[in-house]
Amino acid sequence: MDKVKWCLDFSYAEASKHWEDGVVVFHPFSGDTFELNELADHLLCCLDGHPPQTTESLIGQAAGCGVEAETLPRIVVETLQSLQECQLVRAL
Amino acid sequence: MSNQYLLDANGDNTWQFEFGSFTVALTSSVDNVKKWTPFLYQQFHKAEPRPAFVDFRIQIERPESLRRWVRPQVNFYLDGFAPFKPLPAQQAVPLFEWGLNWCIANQYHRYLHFHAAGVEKNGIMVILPAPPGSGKSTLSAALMQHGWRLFSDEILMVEPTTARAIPIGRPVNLKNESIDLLQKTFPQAELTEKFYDTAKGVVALMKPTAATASRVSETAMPTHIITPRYVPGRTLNVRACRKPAALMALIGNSFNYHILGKSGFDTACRLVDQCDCFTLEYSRFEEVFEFFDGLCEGSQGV
Repeated sequence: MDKVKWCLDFSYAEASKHWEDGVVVFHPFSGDTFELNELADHLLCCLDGHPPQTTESLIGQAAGCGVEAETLPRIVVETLQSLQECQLVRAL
Repeated sequence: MSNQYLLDANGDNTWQFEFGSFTVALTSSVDNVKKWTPFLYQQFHKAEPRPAFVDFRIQIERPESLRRWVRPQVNFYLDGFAPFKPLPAQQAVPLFEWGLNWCIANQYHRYLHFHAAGVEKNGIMVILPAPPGSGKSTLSAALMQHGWRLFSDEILMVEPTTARAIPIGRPVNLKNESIDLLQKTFPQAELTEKFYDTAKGVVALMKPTAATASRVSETAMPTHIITPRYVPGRTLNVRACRKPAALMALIGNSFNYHILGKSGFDTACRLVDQCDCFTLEYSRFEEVFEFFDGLCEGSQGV
């Protein structure tokens, strides 16, 4: 778990919307909108600089970093909820 | 604002329409257009002066070439520019409707647009977002004939600051089997002739009902977002939809979300916030009507 760190860049003004059954995040510069789990996948794609891949391969990548698949969305949820409005731009 | 239908005083075959918030001037000497434009838009007639500003000046005319006479074609012009390839002259009427859709989707960004139908009854306003082929035009035409007010069968516009839906009440574009089905189910429905061999198959246009035309200037606050899908033989299947999924579906069916930016995001979030969200699979109008009428009675039927 120590190998995974979510980096936050506040220079990206960003909006998010929280409902009981999920979170949607908006990136105003790119115009992209992500549902949370898709955002988690997207961030994992940044993990090793590779373009987006399948969810299965992302889970494999996560496992390589010592993160269990079922904990991934929760990690992002907690991060987003603790910071309310922020932009997750990269996972290192 | 009100809709209006005016024949140009100089007799130059120009019709001027005011669709709630934007104005259109259509000029055409093509016989089909001269025949069907009054039929489709006559009930919007009001003896009011012409609008001071016209948003879209459209011409449907035959080209200045041999194709004016040999296997005749027609062109769609916006401010004198032809953005599309010409079509057979017999398709002049649907060409105007498709071209106007293109004008709105590409150039009118005051509102957030969705590829969606919209209907309203007794204060219940339903957005029906769906990709082509999902049956939303057929469903919205049926609901209009059943007494619901049609906002649009193709482009639903939402005002960003208020999140209210803006009606445009134009004719419904029906395709292929749905034409005969609706004509048979609703004998009172008024349709144009069929236009054959279009890119979408056989097409006919359904005239808006009087209830739709008479209230075209009344906006409404959306209360439901229902994603419809026609599945042959399927009994009605309505399921509640997660809010994030509903938002993503709504955004996926927007024409100009990327242009409005955060304003578009905030508007879409507000819509999902204030609406109950469902997916709906259907094959029989009777079951759909029962469900939709139940919405009006405060029962969502699920």
